[in-house]
Amino acid sequence: MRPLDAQDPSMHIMKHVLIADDSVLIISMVTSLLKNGGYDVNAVRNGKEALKNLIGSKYDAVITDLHMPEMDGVQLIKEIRLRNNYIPVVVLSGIDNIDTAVEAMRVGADDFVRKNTEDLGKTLLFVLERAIERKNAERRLDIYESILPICMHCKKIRHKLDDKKETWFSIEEYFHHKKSGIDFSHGICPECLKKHYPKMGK
Amino acid sequence: MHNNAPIIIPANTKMSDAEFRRFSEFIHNRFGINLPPAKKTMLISRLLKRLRSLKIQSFSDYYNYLMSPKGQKNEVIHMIDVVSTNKTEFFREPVHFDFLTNKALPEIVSEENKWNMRKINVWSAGCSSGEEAYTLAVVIAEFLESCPKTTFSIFATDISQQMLITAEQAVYAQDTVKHIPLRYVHKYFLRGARSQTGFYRIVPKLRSCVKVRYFNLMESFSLIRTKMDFIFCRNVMIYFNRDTREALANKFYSQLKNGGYLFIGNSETLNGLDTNFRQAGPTIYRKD
Repeated sequence: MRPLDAQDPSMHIMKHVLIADDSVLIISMVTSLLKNGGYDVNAVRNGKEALKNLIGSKYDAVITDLHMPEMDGVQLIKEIRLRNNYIPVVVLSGIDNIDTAVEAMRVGADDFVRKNTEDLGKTLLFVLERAIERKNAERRLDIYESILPICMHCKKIRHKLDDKKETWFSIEEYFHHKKSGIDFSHGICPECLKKHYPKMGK
Repeated sequence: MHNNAPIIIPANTKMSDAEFRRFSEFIHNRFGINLPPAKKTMLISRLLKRLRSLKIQSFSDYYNYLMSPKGQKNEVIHMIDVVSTNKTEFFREPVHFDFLTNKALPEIVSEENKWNMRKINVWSAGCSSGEEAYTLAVVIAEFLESCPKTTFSIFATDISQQMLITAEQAVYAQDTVKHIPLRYVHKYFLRGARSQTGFYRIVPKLRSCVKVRYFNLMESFSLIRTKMDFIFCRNVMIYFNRDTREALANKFYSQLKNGGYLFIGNSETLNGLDTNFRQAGPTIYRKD
């Protein structure tokens, strides 16, 4: 397992996880397991509440049960995926719904953990971390593989906020804003060195 | 990957007597569980699971980890999970359930008062994987069949997370169900299909009467607001020493309603303990 203090600076920020489960026992157990693992946790009792919570605030991952009143896990995942492709969703499945867990994966869950797994905490932390890393990689890959509209003169890149609003970023700003993982350090190429600092080039 | 990690056998599986004493003292101080030297083999075999899981090489390294701040935060709960896990079955020690049906329940619900609204509260203290709690649910549901105004709730507690999850799931293998009278199996269990073949699950109506929670019997009971009609704490006190048993029996006494009953395991006794209980039968005690 990757240690929490790995090179990626974003790992230092406490990750915020939303748990949806109708069992008080599971909520209290998973909350304390994740808090011990360094996560910030918020818990709700059904899919409807989960969706309401997700729309208002920013979460790094969702853990959901399958059988819940109001809105079940599969429906919740479908609703999440309609809105956001990049938030990792891990299913916590009871022994009675392995078949539903497969369906959950089909509609967009990233992984699933059985509640009666030995050492639930360790497994859940491992799976969660892996799902977060994978989704992050997927998101970055989508940035690299996309076609970017670029200004033919100043080389700024267009970023659409919604259908009406847009901003134009410099290349550096754009990749930073998109949390692409690309960092820039400023150097100078031999041609520019010759052109701008003719004395130094010699 | 997490399900088939290679099994690493710790290099040093020996535990010195001094090491055993350090573990048993800690377990006793924190959880009240008594581990006499005769339990050393049991402790070794159970703790080895943790050593393997953590890839720790010896019991002294494991002890040091357990005592470290990180171990205190993350490991104590797993340690007690493997140490306290206890076998249980449906309708174990059936005398107690006959007593409920024939004596204790009729004291609360009679022909004359059966149309009064009331709720019966039962505590399965040390519920392990839940068999006792669901047996109680079956027995009480059967008794109350003709008393629709009386409801009941079973509070099932344990210190093992693994067991609590199993208890809440309420899914049992065919093997464990065979102790249950067939008519109850048909009435109160759902037979699994497809991937669940060979498993039975308690029907939702009965499951909803059982609340499974983490609770350490060493803690104060002040957070448990409900006064109980019956408390089942069977084969739990055998792990405790005399003083702990006495303190626990008295805490149970205060938690019971007047006229409530405490049921303990058939190898246990409150004899010689200073309590206000009156013995109402073998291993059955009443708060008068």
